[in-house]
Amino acid sequence: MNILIVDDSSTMRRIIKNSLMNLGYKNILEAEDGALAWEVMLSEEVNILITDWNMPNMNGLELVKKVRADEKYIDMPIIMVTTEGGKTEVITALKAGVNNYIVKPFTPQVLKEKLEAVIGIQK
Amino acid sequence: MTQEELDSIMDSDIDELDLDGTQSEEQRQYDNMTKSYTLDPTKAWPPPPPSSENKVVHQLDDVTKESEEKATQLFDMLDAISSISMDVQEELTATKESINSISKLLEKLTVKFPDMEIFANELNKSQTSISAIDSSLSKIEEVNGYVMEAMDTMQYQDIHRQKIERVVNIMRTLSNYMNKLFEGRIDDDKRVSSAKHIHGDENDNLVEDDDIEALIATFGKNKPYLLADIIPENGLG
Repeated sequence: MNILIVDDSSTMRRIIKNSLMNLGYKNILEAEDGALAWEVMLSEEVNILITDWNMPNMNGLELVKKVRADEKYIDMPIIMVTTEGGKTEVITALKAGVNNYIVKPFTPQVLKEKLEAVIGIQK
Repeated sequence: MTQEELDSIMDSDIDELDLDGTQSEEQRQYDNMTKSYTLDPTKAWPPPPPSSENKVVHQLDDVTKESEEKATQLFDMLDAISSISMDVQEELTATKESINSISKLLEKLTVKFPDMEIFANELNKSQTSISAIDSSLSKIEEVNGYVMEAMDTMQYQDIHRQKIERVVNIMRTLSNYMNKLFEGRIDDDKRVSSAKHIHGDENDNLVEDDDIEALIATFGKNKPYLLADIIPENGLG
């Protein structure tokens, strides 16, 4: 299972990657903005997308809309991990096609629970 | 800066050093102004010149970039600590297993030879060692917990970066707005220069007409011109 982490902060990508590896996920891809993420998604098969919101070139919301418009990724689980903690933002993201939403800072436990919720492997 | 670079500067003529080859003439002028300027928070005037050190957005961008670099280095160190503690954990576990088998052997020997004090003593020692290893293993577990916690806390680097970005965006928006608000149709270098003293100003340096006449008299300029002074010798031609 390929998980793509999209965040312009290398620190954040590393934190998320670390948490995922501790949960046993091995195939982790990275991109530093929405545009680069889309390039990765065109060349590799991505099964789960974890994306930040505020990024240069193409932000997370634009990426989600682009991904959802593609037949191939219409049902792919998407989690948004962002500092945007407003109700309006959460609704906007959900309407765009995000399956779950995490506000930074988060604990590895929260990431685990949200991940399990979107891929339906409740333990 | 490396020691070699430092030595090279020490060996060169300080006056000939180009501190920043990429600087524009304008920037160089501002930086020269800074040399005679000392930032004093108790004084409202003069404000700091917009030199390299004082350009706020530049400084904040540098802070963002450097903190990201330092966070990466910190992460590398935490990864190294985590990897070393895992190695230690494995070594201690292997050592514990060895001592455990020795301990089991000593237990049997102690039962078989109850009069041999040495077996009982060695059994005690091995059990003490196992307890010490267990204690070390739980401390390593604690270290691993702290490492994970430190890694999670590093999310604040990104949160703080975004707070800085927000401030920078506000400043840039204000700056663009002010520029647009004060925009003129005439280029600045084609504009009429400002008068220093205008009638109606409250200023000790302002003069009345009498003062002007007096000044002219002082400079001997109020003498009426003679016709001969303004008409050349060969007449009006």
